[in-house]
Amino acid sequence: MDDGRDNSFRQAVRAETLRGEKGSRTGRPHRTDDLRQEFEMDEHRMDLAALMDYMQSSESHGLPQEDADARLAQEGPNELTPPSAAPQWVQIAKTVFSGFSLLLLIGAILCFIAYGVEFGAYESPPADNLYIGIVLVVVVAVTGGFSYYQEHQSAQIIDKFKESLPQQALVLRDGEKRRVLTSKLVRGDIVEINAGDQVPADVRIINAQRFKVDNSCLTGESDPQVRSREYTSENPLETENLAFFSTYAVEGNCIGIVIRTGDATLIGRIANLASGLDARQTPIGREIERFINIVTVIAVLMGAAFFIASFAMQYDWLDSIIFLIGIIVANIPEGLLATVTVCLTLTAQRMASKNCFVRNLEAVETLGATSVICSDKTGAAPAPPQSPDWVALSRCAMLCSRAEFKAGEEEKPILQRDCIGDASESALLKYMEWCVGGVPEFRRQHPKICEVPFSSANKFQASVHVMRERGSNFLLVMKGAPEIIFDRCSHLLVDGREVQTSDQWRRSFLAAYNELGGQGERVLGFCDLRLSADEFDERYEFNAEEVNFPLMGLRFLGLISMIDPPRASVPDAVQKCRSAGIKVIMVTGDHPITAKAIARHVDIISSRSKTAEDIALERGVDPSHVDPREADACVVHGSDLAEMTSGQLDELVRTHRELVFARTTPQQKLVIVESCQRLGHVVAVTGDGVSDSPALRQADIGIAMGLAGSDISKQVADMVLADDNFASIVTGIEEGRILFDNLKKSIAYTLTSNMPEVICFLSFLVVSIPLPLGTITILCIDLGTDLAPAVSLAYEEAESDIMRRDPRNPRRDRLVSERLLSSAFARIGILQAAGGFFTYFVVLSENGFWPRRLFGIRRVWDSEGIVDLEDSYGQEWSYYQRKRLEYTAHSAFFASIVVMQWANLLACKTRSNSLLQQGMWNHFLSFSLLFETGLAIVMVYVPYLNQALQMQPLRFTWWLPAMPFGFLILMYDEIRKLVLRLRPSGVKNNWLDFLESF
Amino acid sequence: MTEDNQHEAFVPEPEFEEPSKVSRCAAFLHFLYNKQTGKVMGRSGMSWLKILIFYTIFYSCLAGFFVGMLSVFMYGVLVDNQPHRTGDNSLLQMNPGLGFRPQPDMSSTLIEFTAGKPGSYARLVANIQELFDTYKRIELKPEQVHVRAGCQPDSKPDGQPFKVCKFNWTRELPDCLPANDFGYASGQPCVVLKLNKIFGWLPDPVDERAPHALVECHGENPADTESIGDVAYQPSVSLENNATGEVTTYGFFNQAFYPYLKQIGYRAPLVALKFNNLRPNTLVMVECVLRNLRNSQYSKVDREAMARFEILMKK
Repeated sequence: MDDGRDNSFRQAVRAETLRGEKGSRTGRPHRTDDLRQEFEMDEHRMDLAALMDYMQSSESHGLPQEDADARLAQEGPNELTPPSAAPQWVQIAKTVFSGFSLLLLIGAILCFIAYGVEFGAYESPPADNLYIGIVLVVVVAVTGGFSYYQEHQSAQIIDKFKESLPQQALVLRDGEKRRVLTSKLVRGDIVEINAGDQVPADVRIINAQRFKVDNSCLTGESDPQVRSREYTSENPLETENLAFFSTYAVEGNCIGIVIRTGDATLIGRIANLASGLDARQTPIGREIERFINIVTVIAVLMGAAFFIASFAMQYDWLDSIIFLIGIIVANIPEGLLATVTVCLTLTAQRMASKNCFVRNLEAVETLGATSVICSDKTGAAPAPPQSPDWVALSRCAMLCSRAEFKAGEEEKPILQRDCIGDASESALLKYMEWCVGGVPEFRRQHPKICEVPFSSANKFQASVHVMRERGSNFLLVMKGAPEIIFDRCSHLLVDGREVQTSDQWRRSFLAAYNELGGQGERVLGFCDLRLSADEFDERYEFNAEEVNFPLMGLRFLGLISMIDPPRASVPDAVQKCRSAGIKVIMVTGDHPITAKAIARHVDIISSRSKTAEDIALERGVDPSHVDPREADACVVHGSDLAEMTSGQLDELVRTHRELVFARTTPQQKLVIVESCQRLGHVVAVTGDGVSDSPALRQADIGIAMGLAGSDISKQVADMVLADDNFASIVTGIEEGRILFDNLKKSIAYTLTSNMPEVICFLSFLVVSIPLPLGTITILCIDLGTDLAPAVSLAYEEAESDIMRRDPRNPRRDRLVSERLLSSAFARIGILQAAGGFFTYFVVLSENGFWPRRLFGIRRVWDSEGIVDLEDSYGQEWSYYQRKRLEYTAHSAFFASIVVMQWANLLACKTRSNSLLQQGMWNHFLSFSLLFETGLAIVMVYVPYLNQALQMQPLRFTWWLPAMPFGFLILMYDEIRKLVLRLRPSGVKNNWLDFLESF
Repeated sequence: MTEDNQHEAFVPEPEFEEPSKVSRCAAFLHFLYNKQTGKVMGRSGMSWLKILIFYTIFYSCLAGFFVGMLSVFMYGVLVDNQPHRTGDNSLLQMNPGLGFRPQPDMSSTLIEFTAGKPGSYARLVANIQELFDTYKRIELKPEQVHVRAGCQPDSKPDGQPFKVCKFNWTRELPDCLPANDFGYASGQPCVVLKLNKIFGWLPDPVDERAPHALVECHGENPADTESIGDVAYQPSVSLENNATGEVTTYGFFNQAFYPYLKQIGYRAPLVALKFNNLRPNTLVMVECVLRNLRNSQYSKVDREAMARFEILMKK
């Protein structure tokens, strides 16, 4: 990985041009320029004394506290500004002035205008319009406030998560060392950084002892980088005297001066770049917007059409406006957005209990729509290697490993103890402690005299230890890349005997090496040499710089291989993804062979599928002769990827079911994600490093690791996995899919009652009957009785095939499809309207107005001056008696919709199962039926409340006429589902498919 | 789930994988009519026809069910000769409203005319005439009407409530006849008050000396009281207040006419209100209130058991 550093940025440029071909989004092309600007920082070039001067700091005393306070006040805290923090009022305004809310506001304004006109025209104007206008404004305010509150709540989930990780730094101020919060650091502070610490800001190193940093979160490479006080390169990322904010110190310690803080740091710049990528609309967001558009268009068109028609029918323009308002209110499912929000919140809570925390609620559904997951090594953890138990080898390994156990964890099981040191050193230490034991004690007995550190140039690490035996005072131990180690050896230890190296031994060595390497294992070679007492007496001065001891002609001891084993649950999870039609793409920085082995191991490349190389091996031909389309799996090297055009990459992604990208840079991860998105996939990306953040942002859903993830990755992610477990993603996907299904059920349920509402206004206008359902009553349904059952559908259990279906095709499987609309409006909605009108006619007839008397009566009925309107029995009704009758009819219509919504709820409960098969185990749903009914009873019967809602108490018998129609709805729907179940399977274009629920 | 199925899951559908390069409009037209497959809006003609047949059957069945249910209710539950809900069960709640004529414009309660100028009151007169004609028509076909004998204000029920009393307009309202344009020509306009018919309603009088529904009209405000002048009721009854000895004149709706039981040829009793010396060129707001009834709830807000109109006579 020694070349990764330069390449990562070179490939960023390449990736840029690659994207440039297809026209990039705004803001994107500046990225490389911005990074180039980063190259031009010069703090690393300056003379240290000059820098101290410039920062007005001193190495021995640090900054005076007052100066630090002043700088903190001036330059702000040392924190990254979280992306996208629109002011609260903007967020509130957004919810109020968009979608339905806007339409309802227009309705309210029309009401006020109508009232204003009436106020001017009449002495005592009817307050109806004023009242409805106020109610509409309240509805808008309440739903707006509600959705804002929900958004606020879900943002707090993540905020809490972040707050739980406060960072402190060791700072020299006023000449004494203090622990201060990282956020309080300022330029010029002298900080001390020890192994295991996170670098608290961008730091120029003053003094370092074997200091190494892990820049993987910045550049994506995992090998620790040496840092010292030396200025070694123009490039700030290359030079050894800079350490960057949010990288980790893995070894040694250093003292440095803070040169940049907060957003001015390199990471801050990258973070800003990441936030500069436009946040994409979530699929559910798109769906809801589309749905709002559909409903808005229907409402506006219908409203406009009947507004014009009512003019043509020579209605008063005031009446026409009232029709318009009624049609708008009836068409809009006012409670639906609240329902959707609650459904999302419930699912988010359920997911949080399964260790998935979501940043925004919509992300829950996005996860369900996911068709591609770009993942790295799928949650690796170090575990002990396997090797033959040789005393010499174990001795060597114990002394070679540079990792140390963290103090104070002696009680813990070995494998769970934390280590200071990189992953392979730690694995080695744990292994030795596990199978030999007493490593720290052994090391104390044989102290290290001298060390040649590992470097990417020599690829080995050697040290000299005190060990008195067989005429020798010192033991030289060495470990490193196996082939390098083998080349340095003249002997091998075989069954306790020393043997000369030979070509035969070399072949068997290579075979063993390849075998281990091919299993996805990282292999280290070990060798040692007793330094004879003659040459190296007890007082011999070893010098690591000049190397005054032999490093050739050593004794080869053996190989130790290590693997990052995936969690046991991962293969299962990958398998689940596959049966759910989700492509899992592995994108890793590992070597292709390792990557392929891991992929095989976790089933990302399944046992059946073959890469082009496998096919070639089988047929005994060169891989280049195999048609890549024959292979279903493919392992792509980062450098090959860099050569591809976007079209070639798309082709690659399209034609291969199973893909592994190895030796990739973080920027290439972004390219891969974009390619999948071009192909219409909904892409989930997992990541933990800072360098992953652009890819996380670009992804439809970015998933950060809660334990291993850096702050920035959590900040840009849509979801945080608290347990870093890949399997949690699958759980999340399932939840997301259930949510989408249940949302459809909810919407189908809610939309249905809009049909009778609209028909009421239409019949009022067209056949001039007294209004069957008032505007306020409509709101009572949409925002009252319909809410609880609609929400309860969110608790509906998954239908059995949920994880065996293909992912939702975002272009075709819409939240609101024409099937859902035709079912809700053209069939069940019409049935409900019939039941409602039947009830309406029953109530009016029982009181004297037969249906035929009602047609055309509207004008007389609604004029206040007529106080003696005759009914079918010659009785004469005054205006207020008629209105009382009308409000009773509204209440009865309302009650009939409540009754028929029971049936509709049971019908919406399942997609294709019979109610008898599914049962009534959703207790929230059963409860919501009771709640809905109770609420309706309260609305109808509680004095004053019913007056405020323009309702009248109902006779018990007036609840009954709708019941046959409710029964009809249930019967119809059961028959429909039966037909669909009996329908010959496999016939895709069966004309009956229009009967599907959604 | 077999291995094969798992693999199928990954086979990309062309439509899914290949982003359409056609413009949205063209794609929509293509959706409307696809030349290759002959599909209209994503379905073949046959498929559409079947759906059409489905909906025809669906809606026919629904219409049949609806009509059937309604017929069962209309013919099985309701009866012709009396409302299903009467008395306190009816939303009328036995509280008859008070109507008036002329009211040529239903959205207005203003009676405006110029005395002696026929064009200005033609509509008003025609409106009363309409009511007059309905009373006249009965006299033309007496043979269908079972007329009761004793219909005097003081006569007792004769046990034959299905016979009707005959309301003789000419005799009861002698000053308000078509002949004199109901008084509008002479500047002494008539306003005819009518008590709303409610099935089975009987007056429950407070004062047994006049066991009728009484009506009393006055100006709404003190200024109106001054302008309203002398108001005469036809038919009228004068009652002396036992406590004060004050004598008040009321119009009355003859109790012998009640109850209304949907009798053929039933005509409710009327009271004429005659303004003898209305102040000209002044808008007078008149309020008429039912009196002497226990079973009537007066409510000014809901305008129950009262009538309210404005009269403006120009000269």
